[in-house]
Amino acid sequence: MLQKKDIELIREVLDDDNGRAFETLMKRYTAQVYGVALTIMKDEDNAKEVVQMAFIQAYRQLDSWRGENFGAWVTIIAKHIALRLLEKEKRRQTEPIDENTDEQAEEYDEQREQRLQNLEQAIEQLPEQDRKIIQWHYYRKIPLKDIAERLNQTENNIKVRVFRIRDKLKKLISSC
Amino acid sequence: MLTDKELDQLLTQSAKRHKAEADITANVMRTVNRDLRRKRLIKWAKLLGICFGLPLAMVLYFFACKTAVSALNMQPQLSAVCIVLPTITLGVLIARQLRHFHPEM
Repeated sequence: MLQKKDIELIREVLDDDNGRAFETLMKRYTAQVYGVALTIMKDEDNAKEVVQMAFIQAYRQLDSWRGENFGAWVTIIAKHIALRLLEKEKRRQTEPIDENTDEQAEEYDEQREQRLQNLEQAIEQLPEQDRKIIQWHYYRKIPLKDIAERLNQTENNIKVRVFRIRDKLKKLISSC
Repeated sequence: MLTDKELDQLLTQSAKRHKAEADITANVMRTVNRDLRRKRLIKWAKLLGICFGLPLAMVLYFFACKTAVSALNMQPQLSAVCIVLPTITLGVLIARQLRHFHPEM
């Protein structure tokens, strides 16, 4: 199915607002904005909060959007919010800053982020059914037996397929 | 090349990340839907205000004029002037409101 362009979705949000168009936009850009927020905040909960605030602000100020890349626009909003929050946090801080940054630094790992991105890319490169199997099994925690039923295959067959897909993923990630 | 353990860790982290993203979407959409409900409520309130509030205000206004004129025992010509002039002003104001009225705004 052909994906709607950002501008079409934004027009839908502005003209015939039912929330669904904005949800589509969000799903398209959450990962990107979250990645940036995490880089700045170095903490998953705070990054989550920043992303939420950024999207809500974007929604409320959507009529001031000037047709640039929507993802980049929300990312800029998120950056501003994140920096403002950090600034506020710094001012509020009464304990020595070093202790806290050490503690926070453990939550964010650049290498891990890179690997996660590589994994996402690798999953995207898989054939559709393989991608589905991975998403069902690892993301939605559906047992292999149920996946086998859904795909009209035996459990053993699915096990072998998962083994092969994992192998393929490892190769793809290493080549990224 | 990644080991099986590393791939498992990565897949677990990725699943966690997907869950976080889904949470974010759900939370934002809750706020967006709340905003939408409020917008819709304001839209209908405005529409009802224009459809029923304005005629009601006009009726109340004419009733108040009639009561005032009869209480003051004015001459009919003076009464007419007293009612017609503010009515024209009010009419112009209402017409202007209606011309610019848009339920979405």
